[in-house]
Amino acid sequence: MLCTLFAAFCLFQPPDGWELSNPKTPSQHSICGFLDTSRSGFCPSLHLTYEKTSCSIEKYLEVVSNTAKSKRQKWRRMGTVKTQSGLAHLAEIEVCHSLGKVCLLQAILPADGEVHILTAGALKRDLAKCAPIFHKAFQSMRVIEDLIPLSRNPDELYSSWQKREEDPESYSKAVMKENALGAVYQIQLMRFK
Amino acid sequence: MNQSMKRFMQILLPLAFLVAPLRADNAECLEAALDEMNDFYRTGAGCEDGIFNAISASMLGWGVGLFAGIALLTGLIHNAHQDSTTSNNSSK
Repeated sequence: MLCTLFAAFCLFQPPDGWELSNPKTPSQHSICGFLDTSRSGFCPSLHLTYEKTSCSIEKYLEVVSNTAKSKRQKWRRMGTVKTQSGLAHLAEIEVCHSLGKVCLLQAILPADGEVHILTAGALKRDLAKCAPIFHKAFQSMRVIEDLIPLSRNPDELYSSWQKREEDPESYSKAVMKENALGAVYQIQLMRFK
Repeated sequence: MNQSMKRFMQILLPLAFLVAPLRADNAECLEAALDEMNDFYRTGAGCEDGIFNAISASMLGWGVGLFAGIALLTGLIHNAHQDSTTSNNSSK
């Protein structure tokens, strides 16, 4: 179905109560982001991005590390984290900020010529509180080749996806019904409207 | 003049036929090399965007909080100022 157009889709489970962030300058690599707005000051966040790459994961990590170092960011590998679609490489980036030191954790999951990156950010002093939440989100990452078979009503969703150009409203309504699989699933469906 | 021009063209045309495909090949190679170079320099853009989004979105939340704080403080100061003016008037 959708896999004929796109290689893979990454899904993850954002923490309960976190709000969907609406980036002012969305990039072509950005998929979605979530913020914990219950905290004051620098809000902990989770952002999903992806990138097509022809190089190996080791080469990719080397390039990312060199880029971070050239920007005077502290970058270090933290090993791997087990996701639902295999091992993701974990990296820690430390950035100096006016509100204090910001710690960013990136779970980099390679899949068929693409890398799916889940970036978790929090102030370094809040990291101990946020680490279990971030870890749970990283573990929930999964890469799938097709979105529609996951739906409870795949036939209905597929037929509305086929007619999405003539009737975008009914496709939006069909996507809104798919709330059982979470916001990330709905966003991935909407991206290919 | 015409003879020399003709001879010149006779040499130039076969040369042009030979060189033109070479130039096309070179252009293709150059484009491929440029693509490879672009791919290399773009590698890591997904990670960079993740970092940028994480910081900018979190700061946006902080900005909204700051704005709400300033608005609340302004409201409180305004109310306090009104209260003190009213009490001064009533004492007179």
